Amino acid sequence: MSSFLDIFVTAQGNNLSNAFTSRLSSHNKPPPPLDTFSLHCPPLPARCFHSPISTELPTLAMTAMDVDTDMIQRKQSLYQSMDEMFEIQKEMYKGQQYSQIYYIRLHLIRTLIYSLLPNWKPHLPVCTVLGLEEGKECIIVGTLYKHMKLKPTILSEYSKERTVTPLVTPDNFVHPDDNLVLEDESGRVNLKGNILSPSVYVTGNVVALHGKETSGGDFLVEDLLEAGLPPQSDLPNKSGEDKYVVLVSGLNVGSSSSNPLQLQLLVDHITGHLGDEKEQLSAAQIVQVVVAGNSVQIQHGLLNGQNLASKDQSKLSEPIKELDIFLTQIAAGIPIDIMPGYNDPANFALPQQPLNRCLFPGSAAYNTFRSCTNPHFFDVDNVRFLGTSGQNIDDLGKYSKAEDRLEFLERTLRWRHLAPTAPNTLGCYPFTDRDPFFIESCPHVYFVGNQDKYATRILKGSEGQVVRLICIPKFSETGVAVMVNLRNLECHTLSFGTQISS
Amino acid sequence: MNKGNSNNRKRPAQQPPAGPPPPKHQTPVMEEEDMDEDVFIQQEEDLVNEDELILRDMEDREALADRMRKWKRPGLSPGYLNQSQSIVFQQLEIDYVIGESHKGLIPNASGPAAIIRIFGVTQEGNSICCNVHGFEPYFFISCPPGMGPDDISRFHQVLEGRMREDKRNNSVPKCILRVELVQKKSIMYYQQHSSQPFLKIVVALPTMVASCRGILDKGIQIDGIGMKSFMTYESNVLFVLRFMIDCKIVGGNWIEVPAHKYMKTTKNMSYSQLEFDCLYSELISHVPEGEYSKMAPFRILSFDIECAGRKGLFPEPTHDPVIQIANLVTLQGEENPFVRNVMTLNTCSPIVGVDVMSFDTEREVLLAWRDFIREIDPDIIIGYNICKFDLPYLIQRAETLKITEFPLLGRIRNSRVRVKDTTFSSRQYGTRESKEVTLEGRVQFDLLQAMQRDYKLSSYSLNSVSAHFLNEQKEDVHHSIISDLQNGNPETRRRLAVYCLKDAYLPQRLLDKLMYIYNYVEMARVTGVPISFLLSRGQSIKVLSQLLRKAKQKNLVLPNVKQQGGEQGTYEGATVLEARAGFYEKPIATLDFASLYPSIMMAYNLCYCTLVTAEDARKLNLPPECVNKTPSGELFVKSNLQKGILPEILEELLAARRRAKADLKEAKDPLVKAVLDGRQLALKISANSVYGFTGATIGQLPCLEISSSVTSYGRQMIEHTKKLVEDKFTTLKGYEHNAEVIYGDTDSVMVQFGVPTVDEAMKLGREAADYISGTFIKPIKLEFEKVYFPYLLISKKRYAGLYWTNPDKYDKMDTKGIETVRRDNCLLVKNLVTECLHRILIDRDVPGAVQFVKNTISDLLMNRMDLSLLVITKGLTKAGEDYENKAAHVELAERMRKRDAATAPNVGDRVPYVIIKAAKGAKAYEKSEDPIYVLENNIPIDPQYYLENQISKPLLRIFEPILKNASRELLHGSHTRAISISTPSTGGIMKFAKKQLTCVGCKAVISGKDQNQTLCAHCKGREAELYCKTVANVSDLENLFGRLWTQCQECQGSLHQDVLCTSRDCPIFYRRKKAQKDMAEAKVQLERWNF
Repeated sequence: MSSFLDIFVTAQGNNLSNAFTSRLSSHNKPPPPLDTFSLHCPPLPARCFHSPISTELPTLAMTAMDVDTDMIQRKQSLYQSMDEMFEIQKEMYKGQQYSQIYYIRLHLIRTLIYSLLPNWKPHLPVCTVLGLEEGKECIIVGTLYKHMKLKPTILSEYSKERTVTPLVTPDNFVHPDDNLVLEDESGRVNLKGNILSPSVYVTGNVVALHGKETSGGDFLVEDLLEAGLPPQSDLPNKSGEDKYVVLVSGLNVGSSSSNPLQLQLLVDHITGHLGDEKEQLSAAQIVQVVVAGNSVQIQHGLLNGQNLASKDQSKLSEPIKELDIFLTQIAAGIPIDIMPGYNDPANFALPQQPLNRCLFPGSAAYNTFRSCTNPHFFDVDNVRFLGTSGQNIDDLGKYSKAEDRLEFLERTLRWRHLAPTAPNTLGCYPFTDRDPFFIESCPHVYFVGNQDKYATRILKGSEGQVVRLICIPKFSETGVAVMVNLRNLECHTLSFGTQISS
Repeated sequence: MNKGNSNNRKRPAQQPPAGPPPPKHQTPVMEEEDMDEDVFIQQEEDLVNEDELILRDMEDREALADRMRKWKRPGLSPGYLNQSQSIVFQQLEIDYVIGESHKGLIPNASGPAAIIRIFGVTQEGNSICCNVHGFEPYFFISCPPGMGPDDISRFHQVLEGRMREDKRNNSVPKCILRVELVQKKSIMYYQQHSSQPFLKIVVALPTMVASCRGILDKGIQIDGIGMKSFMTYESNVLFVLRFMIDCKIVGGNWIEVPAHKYMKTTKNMSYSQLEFDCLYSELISHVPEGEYSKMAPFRILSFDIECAGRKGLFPEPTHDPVIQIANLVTLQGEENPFVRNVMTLNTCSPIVGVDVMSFDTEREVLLAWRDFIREIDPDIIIGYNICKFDLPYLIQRAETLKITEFPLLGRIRNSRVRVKDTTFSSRQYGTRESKEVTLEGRVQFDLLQAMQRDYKLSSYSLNSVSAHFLNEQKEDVHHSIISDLQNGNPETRRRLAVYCLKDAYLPQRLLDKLMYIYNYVEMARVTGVPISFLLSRGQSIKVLSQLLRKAKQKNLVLPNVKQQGGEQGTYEGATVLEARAGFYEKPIATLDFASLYPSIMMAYNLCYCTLVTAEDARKLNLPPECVNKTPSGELFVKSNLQKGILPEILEELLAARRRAKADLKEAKDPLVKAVLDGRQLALKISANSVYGFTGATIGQLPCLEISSSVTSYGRQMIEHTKKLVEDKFTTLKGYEHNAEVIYGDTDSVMVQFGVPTVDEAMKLGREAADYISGTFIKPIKLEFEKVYFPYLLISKKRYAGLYWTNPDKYDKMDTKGIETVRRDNCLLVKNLVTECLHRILIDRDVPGAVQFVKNTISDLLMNRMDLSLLVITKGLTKAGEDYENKAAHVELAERMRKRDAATAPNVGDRVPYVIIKAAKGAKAYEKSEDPIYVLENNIPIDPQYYLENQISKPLLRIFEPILKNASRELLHGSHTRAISISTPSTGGIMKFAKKQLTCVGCKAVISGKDQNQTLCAHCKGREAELYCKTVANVSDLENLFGRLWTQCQECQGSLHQDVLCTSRDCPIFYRRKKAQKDMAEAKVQLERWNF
């Protein structure tokens, strides 16, 4: 890794260090500290740039302070965070269990589904699982539970003796013998029939089923109803100008796959220090950057609770410092949201709480820097964004099957639930009074981070909802970031390639 | 009831009964006591009353009755009713009853006689009760020389007279029906003449055999002969067994009664669908082969009851009501039960797929269950601990409630269920107290008894047994909660019902999984005893049954040797070659004698009837080529003079096993495979138990001459093998290395041939086995089976190694005698030993194993050990004051009772505890504490105790052969120097302690103006690193918390209800508790960063 850097420095060292200092000098007035939990960020002041022409970069440092006519204005946007629903502040672990969160979820989605029933099958009676009578057609609403043969259990880890051949951990635990059970507060019933495919659904989904009890005490499913897409607010006026939100994930600073040059190119591009005027003009249209998880990789072996030697101490904090430098560069010019991910120094269970500001002494000084929760829910110019760092979709990928990743995203919207597998297979906080993953209103942009490859499509709902679904690839492996146009939800990628050997 | 603790309801095996035992059980090791017990048919009027009562009851519960009628057995074919069709059925249970002789079948009989009842099921699923008439009890005595026909009739009269002295025998017109002169031969000792005169004494009733034997043993006065006592023959054979042997019926086989040879009974005595009378001579018993090896579709009922105990007390039938009974009925051979129901006291919300029947009174619950049993008519009743708990509880409860009509659960109309205490003791299984509940016509199969008999497990609770065999954890509801659930609402009662159903379901799953029905039926067929004997009696009845059958073919009779209590002959047992302890990194070949003891008996023709007494040896002057002198000095004739019966039995058993194994290979159908596998296993066990039978000093027919000869031959062979191996496989004889025998046990020899690869060792092993087998008399055979590589030999009967049967890949890790499963060890020992062996043997990484031990010890001392690994569990078998010595778990139970009587362990429960730090000089028993209490109050554990008393011995055992100075290296290294102790949150000095904030980084006290800081001035700048550590801890705990609690939700089978389970047997129980607590603490730590 360090050899990469060396090569890079010898190739473009001068230019870059100049650009770097110039930017810092132009914006080195520390803004007042900002409370990250405040809901409304004031409209951001426009950041200004010179038009740096790549060949004339060395002059930039000199001209940085004088503002002249060549200036390109960065566009502004209106930002509103709605993360408070994902925040855990006063809630503590006091012996509560997971039954409440299932109970609340069932209650929320069932109420919703009940309101849909008159339009679906008004002639059928609605029963509880206990009220089933053999042969009588009816509708039951409840939480699905999937019996899975291959599902790894913590019990087998503890109770089985170490086997001679280590267990292979498959990345998908779906098996043809899996079967679904529907549960409400009153009881459980086994589901039969071909309508309901166990490979699609997971434990934790709330659905309505039409069918009847068989003589064997099973429920033969004839039809199924999901909660469907939530209602959506109208997309703001489409005649406006192009403004972009950059979505990036999986920077993985400190991992072997991370390439500092690539990352620096990304930073330089969006801060407008790269390319010709045309490119800078497009960079000036970027109004928001979102880093969707897994920004650093820390050697987990160092965190076993023992006191560290000073060498290891720095090994631990080095990647975070490096990340802070990158973030500072961006925050100096553009509002940036950082979400915690699976690998980040944050808590494990969803919703993950904002990364602590003490990790980012540099960037945290800017009021453009926001440390957010995962999942993250916000509006930019009234375009509604909802996204996660990927855990919810990755977990669905382990416990169910779909044609592609986007289908999982689509399903979670239709199920009205961001993370149905939590808490069953996905760690989550044992909420007692709410289910924050219930999707109340439909986002315009729904993204997940840390996917293997970039994918996107438009999902259209029956009530005119239009959702841009995006899988953000891991930047450290692909060098790809995603640009979303707020005007029309169009989407394209930014690719940064670094071929050093040639 | 709460099966989590069910194993504790019984005293642990191998312990003498606590109270003074009833006098009749005082004989020390009694194989078993076989006594016939006559049951008389009750009077007619009783019967009528009973029926009326039932009818009245039925009207009251019409609806219920309708529900049950659905499950009736299939209707009878008309061919049975008009007696034009032969009846073919599989019998499951045989007993007898005393009733009037059947005038229609035996016209000239009079007075009461024994009627044998065979219960069974036809292929169509009809239940059968076959009353067999005309079979008479009898036994033999040797006829004194010179007894003529007149003497015999005089003898008959005298004996009849003596029998009459006992008033009990007055009910019959004649006690001694006949005395016949027959030609027989005693099985004991080699005899040259072919037969001798014997008297066959036929008596009226089965119990008279014993009383008649008593009279003859003491001696009777006969005119012309004088006072004489007689040796009796076959007078100790149970009447039912006698009948089976004479009719060639074996347990669980198919019996045919030809058309027109039976009479349908006019007044049914039983609830069976088809009841008929026939003569014993008309029965056709089918050999269980081919078509007749199948199984009839019997009905298997699995049930469980729940009782509402009072706080802090174990439920007692005199006080505590039965609140639920869950039932599952399965047809043999089918996968799913066809009836699932639960009877509850008070209302209960419905359960999908289960028929929930709720009643207002306990009386109704009990009677509903009785009616259910009658309608369903199960052939086999199974459950977990039903024989000791559920059934007796139900019956005693009915007694308390004065429900006289309840205990009619058997198949006989007017016969009440009887409960009696029994003690079962045998050398093999130890002494066990049990209750015997007679349910006529139904086989009881208590899975707990079967488990204790067939498997060595660390715990026999239903929970741990199902975890072991079914890989399923069972929710365990503490019995103190049961009453609360019952007193709640229909929902909580439903919760309880679901739990109760699961307890009824698991025994059925176990039965299927372990193929108990197949295995036990096959065992009954092979050994010829009724199925019910297999669980309630020891091994010897099985051998006796085979011996009697064989003897009958050969016209031999077995003497009834007077049991000589107390005087135990001993003889030298098997040999064990000196173990050369060490860690062997070259392949070790294992040569095994296949079925050594049976082979020896066959090879040397060892039997009762081939044994030559010292006296006879002189008298008979046998040529030396016709006799074998065994290494223990006994003489046995060779088979050319007299073929032994035992060798013949063994030959048949082993031949049958070979056939079964060959068929097993061919078989495709899993059911057929199950039957065949059950059979070959039964045959193997039977063959091995023959030797034990001859050595059981207080058994039916002990003969120490045989058993001591067997072991002496065994010893000789092991020595012989060792010598041959070490002589032949040497460099002098052209082999590359000198072979070395490093260890030998009863029937195996471990050889190190010195070759480096498994393949070569296998070749040499095979060569050695063939070569040495050639030097033995057939069928003794030395087989080469496996290679251990590497092999860690600790001492005799203790070793571990990788087990190879083919040179490419090892099969498994095999360990013997390394205590990893002992109950009074904590889990840490097991984990540590297993992991070390794994690293040493499989990874071949001795330094890795050492490092692992060091890390573990360091974790222990640094207080980083998971508490659940340190929990030790012991059964509380009697109340505190009854223990002579103070014991840790008893003291703890007392202390817990003082804290909270409701949740404290009771007699019969298992008490989990950890050893905590206590004042200097505190006794070990004072240092025990409840793990939950420890968790909640941060009480420091005592790592030294665990180091010294738990892990050091097993570790040193493993490492001593490998490491020099193992003790110093492992237990006293630098890793033992740092210790950390948690601060207790209660008690003692902590009341005076003041809490102060410390720096997260360096633990320096933060004082003064920095009060609200997380870090001290010195550690400022290390925020990122220190925060990462704190948050990583939270993150790990969250992960654990989520996985643990969702697992428990999974086990309890509900997402929307809180987890109640308190199963301390569950490996994650303490972890779950701890995760919850740690999580709360870690969150507080994390909060400190939100400055």
